[in-house]
Amino acid sequence: MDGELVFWICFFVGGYSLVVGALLRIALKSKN
Amino acid sequence: MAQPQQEQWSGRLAIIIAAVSMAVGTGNIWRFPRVAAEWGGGAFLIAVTIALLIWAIPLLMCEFLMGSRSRLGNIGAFRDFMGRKHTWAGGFMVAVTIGIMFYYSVVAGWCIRYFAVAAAGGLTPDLSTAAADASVTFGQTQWDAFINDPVETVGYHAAAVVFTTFVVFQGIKGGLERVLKVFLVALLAIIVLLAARAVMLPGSAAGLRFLFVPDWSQLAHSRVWLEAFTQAAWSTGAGWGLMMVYSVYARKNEEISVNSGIVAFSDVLVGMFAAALVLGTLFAVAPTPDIAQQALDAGHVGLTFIYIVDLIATMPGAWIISPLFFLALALAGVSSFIAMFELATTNLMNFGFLRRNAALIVGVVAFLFGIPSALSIEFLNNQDWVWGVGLLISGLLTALAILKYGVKRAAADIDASSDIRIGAWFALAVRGIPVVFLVLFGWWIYQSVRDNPDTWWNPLVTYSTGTMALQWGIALALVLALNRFLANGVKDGPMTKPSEATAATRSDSNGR
Repeated sequence: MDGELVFWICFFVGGYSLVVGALLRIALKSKN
Repeated sequence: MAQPQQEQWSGRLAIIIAAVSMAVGTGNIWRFPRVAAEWGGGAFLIAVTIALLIWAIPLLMCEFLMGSRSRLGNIGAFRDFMGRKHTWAGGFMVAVTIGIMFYYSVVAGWCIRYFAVAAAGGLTPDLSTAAADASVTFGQTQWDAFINDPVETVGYHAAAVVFTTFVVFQGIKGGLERVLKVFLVALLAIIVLLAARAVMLPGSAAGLRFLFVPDWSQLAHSRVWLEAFTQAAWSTGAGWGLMMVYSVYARKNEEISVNSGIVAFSDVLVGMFAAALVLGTLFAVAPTPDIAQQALDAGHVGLTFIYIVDLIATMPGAWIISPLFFLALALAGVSSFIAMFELATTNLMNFGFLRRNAALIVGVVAFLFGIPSALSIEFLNNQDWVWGVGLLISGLLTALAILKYGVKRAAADIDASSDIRIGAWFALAVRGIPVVFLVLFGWWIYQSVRDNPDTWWNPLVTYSTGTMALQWGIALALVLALNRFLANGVKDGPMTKPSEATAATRSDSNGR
């Protein structure tokens, strides 16, 4: 796979995973 | 008489799991990859992200607020948020989602059938004999034999309905929560596993380029934005009323903002993995890129039940990949069908039915009204068209309910029980939803007129504007005629204001 493709895969899959992970972390740590 | 205690999810994670499994459906596997590849790959993903923030997440938050505060299904929630005169709006939302439920069980049945046949080894033919008649592929032969056999199509539709009736019959904790937890974990595991396998196939990079590398020029085309907003509206479940029903069973003061964000972003993330699986496999296995493109252009049915069947059969390890793929599809389909079934059941329970009786009634009705779609794919396509576009109206009605309730008041309610304060953005987005609706809805109507210049008005044509107008009109006339019955028939919730008649009776008895 070329570098450009790897970059965009990391950008989108990584970005979305980070957002979902951060929101899940807030949800699981919250006392709410 | 003592009121039976309200059922509840066991905790916050339980409602998040249920909501994600509601949102992740067959569309993530057979719609998202096709649309993303066609409309600019990464550029489309950016447009979808913006659509999530402007349409899907605010609408999911509206639904969450309406369900969790009213503690009633869609009909009661609209009554308590919009006023008794507008109870019909909840009735219309229920009509649209039930319209989808009637054919969705048939589609879930197809997925179950393909899983069963794949698990028995029936989708991995001896390719030396299959090649004898090259004019009709193995996948096409399989599909034609299945779809033209009413015993099979109705039988698998019945299987989906019976299983779901049993799950909903068991209640929130004992039924839905237990099943959806297992389904979601299994679904995610299979999709990630198959996506990883697809990415490692030689030649898969061509498919992945379609999906991830942005074609920035596409962002200048209005069509990309319209497709992105449509994807966000249909895939995340925003405007379906399903989130509204699941949040009826949330704990008191359940968190809204973060939960809604998790549902929407997870839905697109799962879509990306599914798209990597489908596009990676297609471009790696298809003999030429043209055949891969033909598969993507072949629609939901053509891609999933014909091309993928043919292409997976040629792969090493097809005996395990094929059943796993169709198991993922069946899990996604059935878990979304469970949410629609629960919507109908909860609304019926609000009229005084016990859960078990309500589930049985919904099961019988879903089976009977699903039969036409099981027997005729043309009828199914018509229903998909009519009620799919109808979801946009449901989304608009949800936003109007919040505007009537008071968008600042709603934003304050949401902020009061949320981990993050995003009330200001929520208020702005909800005010913009009617504008987005007008653009999206106008575009779909324009498309239907453009594609059927001579027959767009004809209600007997599958994809016409006439058929939508007629069927929405019937549903609207019915719920408007029944408005008073609906408003008075649904039980009272914590937000319910007494009707004029009830208030007069109360003041009479107080006077005495």
